[in-house]
Amino acid sequence: MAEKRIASDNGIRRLPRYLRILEQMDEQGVERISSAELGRMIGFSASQIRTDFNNFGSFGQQGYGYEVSSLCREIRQVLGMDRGFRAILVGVGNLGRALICNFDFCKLGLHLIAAVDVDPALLGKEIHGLPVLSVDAAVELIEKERIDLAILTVPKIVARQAADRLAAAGIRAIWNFTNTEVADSASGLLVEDMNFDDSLLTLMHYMKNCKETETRPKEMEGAHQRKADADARKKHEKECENFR
Amino acid sequence: MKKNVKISDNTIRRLPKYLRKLSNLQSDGVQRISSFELGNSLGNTPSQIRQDFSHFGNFGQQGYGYHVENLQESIREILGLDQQMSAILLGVGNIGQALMKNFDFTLCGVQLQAAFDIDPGKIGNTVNGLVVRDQAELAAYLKNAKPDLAILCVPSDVAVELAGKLIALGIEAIWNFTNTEITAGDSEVLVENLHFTDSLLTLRYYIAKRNEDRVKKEEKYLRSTGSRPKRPQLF
Repeated sequence: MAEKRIASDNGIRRLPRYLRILEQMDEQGVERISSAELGRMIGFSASQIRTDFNNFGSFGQQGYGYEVSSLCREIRQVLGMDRGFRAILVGVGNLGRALICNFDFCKLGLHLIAAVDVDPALLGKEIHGLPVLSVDAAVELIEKERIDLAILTVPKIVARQAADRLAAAGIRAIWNFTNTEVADSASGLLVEDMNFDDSLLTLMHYMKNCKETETRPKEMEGAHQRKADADARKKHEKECENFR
Repeated sequence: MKKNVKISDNTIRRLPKYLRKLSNLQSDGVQRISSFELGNSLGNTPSQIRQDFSHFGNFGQQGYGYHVENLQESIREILGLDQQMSAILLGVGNIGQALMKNFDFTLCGVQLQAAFDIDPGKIGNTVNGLVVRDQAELAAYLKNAKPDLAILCVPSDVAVELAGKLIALGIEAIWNFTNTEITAGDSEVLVENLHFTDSLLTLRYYIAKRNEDRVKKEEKYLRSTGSRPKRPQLF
């Protein structure tokens, strides 16, 4: 297999979408799929899909397509799902509870070690089998043990403060649900923002757009994405030349 | 602005991030910003930013940059924030309540009009000023109120069924929190799936990559100096 390299952030972000669809198909007993079919299901162009898969050395056969189960395996490997990561969840409000009770962390190779909250009424309790620690106890845990990731579900107004405290204790990656920025890009902290408003605003754009022009977003994703990518590439090449 | 402008999905998904940054800048009293500065603070390349903004006819001036306020206006227009939309929420569990209590719908130009659940223990309760209704009233409610958008927060095992029902009842857009893929089939219904999984997997990838880079760096250090670096602890 070729060296696994994905060039762009967008490319990375497409992988979980592929995986979700492919796993579904795998469960349904589908053995192979063409890039065209997959493209129709997921709303990307076939050439986009071929490019993405080529990037990590998976080549479909002309007239045969891709083998679903091996593609799943490769994407899981690229995403690092074969490694177990340890996480804590900070802020046991409604959202925190929703994640603890309903989100399948195990399936993603993630072990939730503990939850953290400032509310004295919650301390020492267990939620869905997960112990709730005080902030001090959590800091001690982070300093003593390897915790790969903190899931931040505290109220917006204390988000940055909490992130700073976690970073000071040694946390290096945050999955951020607070709908606010918690760190500057220079801080060295890996932050993945789960911004609900980004998603809602995207939907609103399409709602408005569909009313006006009846353009389906799937079509936009395909053809216009291709053009935009090509334009961006050309522009980038030109800029590189200018630079030289 | 050009009419019927077509913008790629990736660009659209970057716009909310720009908007957030710009509104922060404006409240800090910043009047103009270059694509370079904006790119630096957001982690995008300046050329990407210029490309994105040129889509909707907003061109910065060389040596001057972009006008923060005008740029916000353009983005808000593209995102449809100049129109007020109405929404209902289905499933007042943890995630539903979290949204009702903490999410700023007005900021997105959306008004949450009603919430529904099937649990008799929840029906009639008030959550953040909104009375939880019986889901049995859903069909009648949709017929009268005609909300633009349904927010789906029900358990994943009933998600597809309820989405089908909503579509049959004529809802035009669904914002899906159920971590289950919902497709609109042949209908014109818009579905925005908010997949926590996608976000977490992306983060995992970057953590794993950083760990690998660090190991490589350490090995290089080891080869050149014959000793481990001072901070050997991998996180």
